Amino acid sequence: MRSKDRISYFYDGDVGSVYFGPNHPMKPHRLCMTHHLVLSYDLHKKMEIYRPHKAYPVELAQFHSADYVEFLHRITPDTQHLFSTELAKYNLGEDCPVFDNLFEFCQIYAGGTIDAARRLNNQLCDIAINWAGGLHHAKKCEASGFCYINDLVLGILELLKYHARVLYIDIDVHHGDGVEEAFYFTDRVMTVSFHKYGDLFFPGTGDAKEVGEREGKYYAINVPLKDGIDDTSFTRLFKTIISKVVETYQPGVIVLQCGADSLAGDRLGCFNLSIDGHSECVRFVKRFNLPLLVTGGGGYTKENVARCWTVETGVLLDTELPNEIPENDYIKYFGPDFSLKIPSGYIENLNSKSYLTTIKMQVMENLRCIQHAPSVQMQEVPPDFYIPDFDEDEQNPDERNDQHTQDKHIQRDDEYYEGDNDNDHMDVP
Amino acid sequence: MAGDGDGVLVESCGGGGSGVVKALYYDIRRRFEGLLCKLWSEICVCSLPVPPMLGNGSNVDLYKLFIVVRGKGGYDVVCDCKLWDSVAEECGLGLRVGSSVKLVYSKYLRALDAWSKNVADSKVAECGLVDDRVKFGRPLMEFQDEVKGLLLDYAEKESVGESKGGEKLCVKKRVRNGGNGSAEIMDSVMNDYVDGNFGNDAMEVIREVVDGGKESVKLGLGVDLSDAENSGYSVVGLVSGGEKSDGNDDSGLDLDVSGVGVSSGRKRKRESMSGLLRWVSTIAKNPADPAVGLLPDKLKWKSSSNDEVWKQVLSFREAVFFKRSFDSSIEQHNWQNQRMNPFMYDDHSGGSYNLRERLRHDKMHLLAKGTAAAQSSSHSSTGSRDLDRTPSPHPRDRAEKQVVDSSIDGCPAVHIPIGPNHQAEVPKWTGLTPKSDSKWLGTQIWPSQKGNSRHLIERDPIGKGRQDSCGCSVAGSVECVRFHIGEKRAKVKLELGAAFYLWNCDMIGEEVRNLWTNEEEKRFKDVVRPNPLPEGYYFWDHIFRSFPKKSREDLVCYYFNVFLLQRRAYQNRHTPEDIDSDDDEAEDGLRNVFGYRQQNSCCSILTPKKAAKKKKK
Repeated sequence: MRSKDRISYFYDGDVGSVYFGPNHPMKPHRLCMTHHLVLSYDLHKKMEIYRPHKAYPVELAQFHSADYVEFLHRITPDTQHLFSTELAKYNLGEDCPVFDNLFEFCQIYAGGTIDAARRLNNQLCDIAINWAGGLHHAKKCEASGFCYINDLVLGILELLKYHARVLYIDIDVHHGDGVEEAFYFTDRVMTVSFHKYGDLFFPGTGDAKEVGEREGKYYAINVPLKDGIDDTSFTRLFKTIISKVVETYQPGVIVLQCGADSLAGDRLGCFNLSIDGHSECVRFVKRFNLPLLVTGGGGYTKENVARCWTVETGVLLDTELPNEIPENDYIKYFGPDFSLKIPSGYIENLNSKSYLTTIKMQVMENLRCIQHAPSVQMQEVPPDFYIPDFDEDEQNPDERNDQHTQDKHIQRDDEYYEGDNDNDHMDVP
Repeated sequence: MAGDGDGVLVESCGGGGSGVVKALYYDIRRRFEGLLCKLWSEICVCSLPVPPMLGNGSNVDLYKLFIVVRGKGGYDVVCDCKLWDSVAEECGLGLRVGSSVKLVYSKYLRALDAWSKNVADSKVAECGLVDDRVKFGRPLMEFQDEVKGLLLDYAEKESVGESKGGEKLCVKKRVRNGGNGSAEIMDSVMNDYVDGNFGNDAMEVIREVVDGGKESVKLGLGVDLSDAENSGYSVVGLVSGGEKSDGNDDSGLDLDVSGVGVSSGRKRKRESMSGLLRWVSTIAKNPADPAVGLLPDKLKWKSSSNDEVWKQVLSFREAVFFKRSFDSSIEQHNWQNQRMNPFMYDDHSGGSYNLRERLRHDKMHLLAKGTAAAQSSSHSSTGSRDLDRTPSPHPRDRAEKQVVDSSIDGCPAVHIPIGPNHQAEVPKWTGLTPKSDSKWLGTQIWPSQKGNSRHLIERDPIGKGRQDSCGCSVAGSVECVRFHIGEKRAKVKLELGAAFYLWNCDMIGEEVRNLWTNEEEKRFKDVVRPNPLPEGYYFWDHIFRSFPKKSREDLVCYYFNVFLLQRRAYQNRHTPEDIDSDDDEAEDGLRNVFGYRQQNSCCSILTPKKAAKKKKK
């Protein structure tokens, strides 16, 4: 009883005991919980599970500077006081503490994403999942935002060996700055990030105006959002943009970063997404039938992370999961109602319709610039390439009509809309 | 370097004839070499010793070599016609060293050739600020011609020509560096040349043009035109310069061109320009200088005479602005999206001449403003962090996460840093895929390759949820839950076989308690939550000390699998309205341990959450 897609899932039991330090919101233990929940839903029976190899320093240095990798390798909590200059240089310390097994942890999650990419390259699977990966903030020469090694960049570099174009999609609540930065000059990777922007929200990059440079101009897409976006607007925007992106860019493979901090109730996030909304994005991307590498990312309310990624594992396996969480050793973490789905949040949605329309228009505008750039080789289209027709039929007909008519008005208004009287570019404190 | 430059200049002014030429020649040569080094660092060539030495012990004058080769038609021509020996001779390096000279040339100067060719073809990759400017970077050839002309000028002992020549050289160098693709290097080169002190007003203006950004660019252009207007002198050079380029960034060139025109003998005209230039440079040096006085309100401009220097400049600036606001070409679009360097907005420089210092000063200034108006000028502390950080080994990287208080869109933005320290190296797509490599694809754990337990597995429908009813006497009781968890666990263990242990499933949940004695568990509890709880108490500080025999991993494992789970179970049963979704001491903990302060920057991912969000439904 296998899914028609071959799924490779990467997990190493050692990540569960990694500890960033007291009170640090990043808890690798969430990976242990996720895996256990996956097992308790018997999802392992539909896929192959691998233990990743521990990426070698030289592999990590495919992207990162050798001195930085070397330093990560060498530093320990006991010796760090001797290296204050280097710590500052590599941005280690506050957000990115030095802890025991730091390097091994990096090796495991980076190895997972690299292995996942290699299995996809060798067509050993159609979808590869590494929930431990997705640490999208790490930079070439420094750590950032709980991320030390940027496994996504390493995985994408691996995929670029076999694919002319890689599409990277990021639904973490934070901007995927490390990946965007790494591929800022190339048209071989298109990065699309949906994230909260403004109010000094970390990392501060991710304005819609950042579109890439040189050959990479227009190959970085940013969808800056405000607090409280809900399932309907998010998935709508996501589907519109991603279907256009895939149609235009025609990637050979997709990398999807599923940071779970965009869920409602996250400790560091500020969106209203339910697990349904979040996983709908995964479902949509899966429907392109392209090789797909799925990673984790942020997510700081552990139980919800485990829930979300379990549901998404199910989505990738075409398995609908019952809402009652089966008994398992961690079931108490899922109390008091022990259900899989979490409700949407109730934060005020600051994304006005006109704001979202403006963003959408801006992205579409940039995408049009790509269509006029024939320099990209577009020959390579996989045989089973499929673009789902995204039309509003999927949605509730009442709502659809309603939104449709509204949008017509809005777009007309927006022709002159320059964003100074709405909450568009200015971040009102 | 500044001192040197002065010395040369003084000497060259005081002396005459060949002395002047020689001194100036050395100066130019030195600058040429400096420039070459900059170019190398730009294109990632490791630094080479300058001047290079040949096998026979003679030093090669790179500048001369370059000129000579250029004079013969370039590297390729010289190679083709086998002229290296005569090149060597002309450079005064002796006979039959042609091949070594060729080697030196290809090692030292080919990059420059290639680069200048790129500029000529406008092929230098467009890059933010520079992409417009590249178009105006002139072929090196022209630069050479200018410098040659300059030398001749000196031979004729034209003092006016002398200072203008210096200026020209500098401008050219600036343009070339501008083409190099990095604002920062441009800045630093400018610095060098400015410090070199040509003692020339126009020079100051040009510097302003470069570092003062758009505003000053317009000023510079304004200077040209108003000067031309004043003197009634037809500036042919200006027109030709204008033809070449349609943006604003070329004003430096325009100025230069007009300067060339003026310097070629018409001293009177030059004087009229120098008055204006002096005015502009005074402003540039110190905008707050009381000597400058206050400019009247725009409305009152009309009432002032056209002879007022400031009025000419401002009117021109206005005209340029006006013109541009109707320019809706793509060019315009690019211009708006173009990345701004902070120093482009420097307009309060104090008296400092050092651009780097000014930059720093301005960042600081921004910082101060930022804390005052905490919300609006947001990214200031990012800036401060960057300042504190050890400087990047690659000086050409764009200043990291630049703080830009952009006056154009009114929206402070943190920009993606660019440079070899930031971007990944992406190879070109060749269409050839490497041979598949079975190494490092991961170790298959499941389904277990040797295991034969699969027949056990498929009995239950996959993805089955929890059963609502069970046969226990008191369904939902502690015992019932424990029983079902144990049951499930046994089943999973049986199914998974070896994988169960490989995934550390034996170290999951309350099973971990079996490894702890009751006494230890009690101690753990006491250390975590002593009664009474001291102010600012962090149990992890104490817990490692209290359990010297337990490894850190054991403690963490116990904490997550037993302690927290039990606490959560308690909350589920007794305070379902107040579930602590996480395990820590929440905000208090964050605040102290992670230097979590009243944050007004986005340099930490630990952004404060609004209080409302903490409330759980």
